[in-house]
Amino acid sequence: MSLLQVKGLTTSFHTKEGTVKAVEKVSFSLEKGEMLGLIGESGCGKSTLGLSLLRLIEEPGEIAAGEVTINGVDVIKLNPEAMRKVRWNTISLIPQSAMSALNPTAPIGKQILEAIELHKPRIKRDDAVKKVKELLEWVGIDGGRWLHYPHEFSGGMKQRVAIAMALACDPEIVISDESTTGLDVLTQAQVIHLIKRLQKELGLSIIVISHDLAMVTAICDRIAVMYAGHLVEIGPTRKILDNPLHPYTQGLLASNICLDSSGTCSSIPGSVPRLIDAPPGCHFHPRCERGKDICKASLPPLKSLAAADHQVACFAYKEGF
Amino acid sequence: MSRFLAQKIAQYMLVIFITITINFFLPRLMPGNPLIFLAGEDVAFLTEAEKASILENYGLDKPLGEQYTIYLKNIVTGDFGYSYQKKMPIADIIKDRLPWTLLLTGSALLLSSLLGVIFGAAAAWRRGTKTDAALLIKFMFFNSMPSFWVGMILVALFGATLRWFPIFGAQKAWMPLSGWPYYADILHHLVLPLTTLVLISIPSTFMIMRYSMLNVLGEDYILMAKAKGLRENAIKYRYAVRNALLPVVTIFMLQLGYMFSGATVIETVFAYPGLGRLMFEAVVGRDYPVLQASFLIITVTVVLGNLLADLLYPLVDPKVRR
Ligand SMILES: Nc1ncnc2c1ncn2[C@@H]1O[C@H](COP(=O)(O)OP(=O)(O)OP(=O)(O)O)[C@@H](O)[C@H]1O
Ligand SMILES: [Mg+2]
Repeated sequence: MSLLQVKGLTTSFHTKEGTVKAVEKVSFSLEKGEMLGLIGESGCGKSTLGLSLLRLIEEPGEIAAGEVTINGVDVIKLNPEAMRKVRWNTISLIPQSAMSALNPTAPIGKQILEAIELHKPRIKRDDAVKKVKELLEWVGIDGGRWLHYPHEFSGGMKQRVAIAMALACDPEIVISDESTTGLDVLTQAQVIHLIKRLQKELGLSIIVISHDLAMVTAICDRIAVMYAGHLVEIGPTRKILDNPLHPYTQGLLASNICLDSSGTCSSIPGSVPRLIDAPPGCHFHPRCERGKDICKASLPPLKSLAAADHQVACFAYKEGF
Repeated sequence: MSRFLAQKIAQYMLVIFITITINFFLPRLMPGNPLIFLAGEDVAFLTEAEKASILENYGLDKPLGEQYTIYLKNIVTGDFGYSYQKKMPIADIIKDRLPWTLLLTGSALLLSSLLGVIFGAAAAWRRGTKTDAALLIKFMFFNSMPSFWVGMILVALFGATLRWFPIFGAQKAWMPLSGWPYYADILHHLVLPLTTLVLISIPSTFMIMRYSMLNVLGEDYILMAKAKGLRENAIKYRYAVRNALLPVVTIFMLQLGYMFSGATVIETVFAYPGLGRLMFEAVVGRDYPVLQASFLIITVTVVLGNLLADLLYPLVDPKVRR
């Protein structure tokens, strides 16, 4: 059994203009010690998916359907108090904007400490403080600075504090939401290196959400591609890179190759559709060269082709298409 | 820390000095006979000798520079001149009146800030609900009511009709009390004017707190607090209220000034023997020296209040801590 199993997860936002299904019928699994990359254009629902796993979707949003099974327990069905205990203990988050994710009026160490003391009520204060310092040291921050305030640290340091905080309760799953955006290249490399270490040294399962295709392909075991709320393709990194199946993945990879100065730079014509009251079919079909009538009418299911571990949601691979 | 302190105090001393100087020059820029200014309309009944003695008393026969030095010296020694209407040294009058105003405005400031923060936080926490809307409408209502009107309603209801609270003065003047009964009596007299002042002062704190808290609730660290599995109360107080408080402290300073102007009206409605009432009496009786001294005292009090708030601000905001 997988550590994390997501089935038919749908998260909607009920806005004034209509309902946005930011995540629709998404299913995937995450194994122990695995690093899964989640990529896709801005606004395709990556952060929403990440927050849904922690059940942190707030008004006007809701998790409309689906299961999120962690260690055999469907957390969607848990009562709020039980869910509160799952948070950070089992699944933690390095947020998209770690710069602003720290409470400006509390020392960073206290913010880590409070998580430890909350989830391990029997721990002694001294031991908890020791753990805080260790965590800070582990991410390369002087443990003696645990009582310093967020504004006394640089952006990259705050990012590392956020990583230390995510580890406070020895979780099994960490969701890293664009933990490197806004950092310079060297600091980015440091943070990525740290995330890699989490997996190697601590055996954590990590979901890495990012725009940075090069980074994701370099460190992740598997890659999931999202487009406009749908999971369109998922598979081992090597297979996705060598043999992208979904037209969107193909376009995404092709548009990234121009970074390698190969001269040919392509991009996908058109843009991400607005998701308000979106039609039922494949959201990519207006931009797809291979679009057919069936693509407008119904959502293609995620299916394995040649290999069982490489799945794609596209009617182009249906017989008789 | 001490350098920061010294710097702040120096800044505020400069402000006070400028205030004092303006207070000196302003009346001297006014047209007309200074005697009218000093002694009021009684000047018509004064003999030439009395007029000369008043002028000499105030040093008005001396050159401006010398007058200014004398004025400064007098202020430093607590001599604000003489009220020819009340036949008392102004310093003595103010000494009688100031404590009442400080009691009224001080307790109103604390109470209205506290309640404004509590209600503002509650409204923001339940944003969009009936509670939020009800609070908002109530405080908008009080915000748009003239203070004397609120005062008069309270007088009519709780004073005249229900007879729960006295509507006049600050204590039972004819009955010397001591110990607990003395304080209870003062408190009893304070209820209505204080309630009025609090009611008209809550709305601004409420609005700022509500708005500030709404902003804070949208911050990422609130989401993180939830992600960490913190209990609702921890998120609400340790994270949301704590951070939303910052702009409220700034407002607290501004409130102080409004508080005194509010107190002037309310002390008049309730015949409360404070500085505001004194100013009202001085205006009616054209007792300019008293008015001038009251302005000065109020300005200095407001400036000192601001200094205090400024010194306390680092306690709530670690960013400006040293
Ligand atoms: N609180 C909200 N209210 C209404 N709509 C929302 C809300 N949060 C997200 N959405 C919508 O959900 C969709 C997905 O947003 P999400 O933040 O998950 O995208 P993302 O893939 O993380 O984008 P990025 O790469 O820019 O971070 C967007 O269309 C967005 O407008
Ligand atoms: Mg995002």
